[in-house]
Amino acid sequence: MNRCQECEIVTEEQTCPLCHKVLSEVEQAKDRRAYPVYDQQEYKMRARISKLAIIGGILATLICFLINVIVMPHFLWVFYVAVAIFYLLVSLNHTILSASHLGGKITAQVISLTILLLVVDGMSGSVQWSVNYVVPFVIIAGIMLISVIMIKVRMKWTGYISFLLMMIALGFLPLILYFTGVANVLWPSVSAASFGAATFIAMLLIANEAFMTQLGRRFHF
Amino acid sequence: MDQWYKIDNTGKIFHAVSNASNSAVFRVSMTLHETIDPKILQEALDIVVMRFPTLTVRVRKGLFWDFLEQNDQLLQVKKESDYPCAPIDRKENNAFLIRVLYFGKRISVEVFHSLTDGGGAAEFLKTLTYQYLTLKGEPVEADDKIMKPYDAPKREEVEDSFEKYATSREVKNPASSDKKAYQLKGTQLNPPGINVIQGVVDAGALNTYAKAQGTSLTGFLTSVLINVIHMEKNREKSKASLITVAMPVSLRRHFPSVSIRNFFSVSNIGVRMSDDMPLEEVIKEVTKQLIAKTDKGFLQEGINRFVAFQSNLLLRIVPVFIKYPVMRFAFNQFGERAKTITVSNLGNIQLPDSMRPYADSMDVVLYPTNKSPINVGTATVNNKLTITFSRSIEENEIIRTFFKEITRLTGLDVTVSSNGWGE
Repeated sequence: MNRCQECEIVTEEQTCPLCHKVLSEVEQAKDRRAYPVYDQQEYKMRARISKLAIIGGILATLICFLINVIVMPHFLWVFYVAVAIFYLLVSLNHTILSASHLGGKITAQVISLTILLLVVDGMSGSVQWSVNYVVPFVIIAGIMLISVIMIKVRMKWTGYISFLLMMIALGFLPLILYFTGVANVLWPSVSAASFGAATFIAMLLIANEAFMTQLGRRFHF
Repeated sequence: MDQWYKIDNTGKIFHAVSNASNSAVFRVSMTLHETIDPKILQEALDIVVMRFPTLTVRVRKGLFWDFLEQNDQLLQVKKESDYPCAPIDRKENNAFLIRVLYFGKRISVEVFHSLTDGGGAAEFLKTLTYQYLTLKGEPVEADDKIMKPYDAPKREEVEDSFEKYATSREVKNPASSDKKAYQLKGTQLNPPGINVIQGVVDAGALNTYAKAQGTSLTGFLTSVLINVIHMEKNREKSKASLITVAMPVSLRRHFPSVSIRNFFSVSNIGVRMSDDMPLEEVIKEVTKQLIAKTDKGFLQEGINRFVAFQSNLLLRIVPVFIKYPVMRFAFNQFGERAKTITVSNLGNIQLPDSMRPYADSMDVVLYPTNKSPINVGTATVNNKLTITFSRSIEENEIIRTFFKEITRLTGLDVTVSSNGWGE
């Protein structure tokens, strides 16, 4: 045991755990250590990547904004850059780096992609290609992808239910956009809503009891 | 896959407020006299998980509340490699919200607070250690101080005791009357993580000293801590004078619950400090508040208020994606600002007599939060009191002065160790 006169404590460690003063020349035996030796550089790197991506994204947007205002103030193309950076940040931090559920990653991708497309479409003169065609089909693709995964993973299918329900609810968004006048082509919106409803009915028929049990749990309050 | 549980009343808050800087993961550890054999520990764990069904679950998303579902995957023991109370990576941990670690002679159980409190985790650890020793061929015998591994789980053990012991659902005083307390601040550790400093001291001698001062061991430690924070605060020249220690109180001591789920209340012990306030005065005030705030009537009011709040129809029908951010905001603005530091005392852990020779010490590590960057956990076994400070900031003056004061006041040796994170 070593004694630190400064902190008035005793310790088995070579240096005082409180003031870090060297108390002994003899290194503490490995099997006497209270905690493992951490590779803190790895943690620093991990924290840095995520932070750097966000700072880099903000910086890039600001620089683009300045260039945009100076060079072409009548056309704010900086929004294209900003929304693309937002999408890339979601993809990097959530889809690639995070340990989130695969269902959550797909849902986040569909939502962020929808936002990206809406902004790009809106900025390029609102010709409505996004709300009319692309968004409904992105949502259909999302529902289909989660459904296929649920069939594939079999025993673990219940883990995807929340995300499937979220995507099914999202399937009705294009229809809402149509009836509010934002979109003006009906069939893709009807397709998305119908596909969502059909998936819901299919779940009821295929996994009737288990699906109902899951619905009861998901909606308990 | 059929078993599912609603998250209990307290657990909902932890579930809503946890994030990267507030892991809501705490640790309870038992250090034995011999190096842990991971194979035998895994065998023991495979048996014990059946006894604690509410701890071996995964979280599922719901529209109004998330919930817990039985997890049939394998809960694997792992060699400790991360800092204590690191957020649980559900992907790496087979979606469990609990992990069992070993390092040298220590077995640690880290649990997401939505599942259970310190009392529940300690019961799990005791049973796991008992089963481990049994499989090692040690002559240990279970008595009523531990939950026997092969017994079937009882209904009362998985109940939400808040619901059971609430006597009223009327909200008489919905808002907390606790005032804003002095808050500890500092530079975040680099890399972000948790630094742990543990001091081991003779529990019997310290208890005798505390009694001589007219207080309990908890009262004495709390008083010294408040005094030390005040001393350090003065060096910062901060004007705030109310120093509040948030103290989780196990409700199992006052209500006949055997639930393994969360069943605790938090009593805020606050002292308005002045420069000429002697320690004796602080001890007197802390002891008075400790008696009043651990009184059954006071705790009953807390249970009722809590259940009434969560029974509120408006709160229940709001979807989680709106409810959780609101709860997080309320927790940070009102719950966290009323305390300076948290001190959780697991007390003197009772082990069967046949197990005691195998146990060296026990400790509890709390997770720090943004507004409470230093917290303290204490536990006693075999007359060894382990005081564990966990912090997410570089500054350790409070910890240093605290141990110095304990030595100065009592003359007892404090044996200190650290995990060295961020240093």
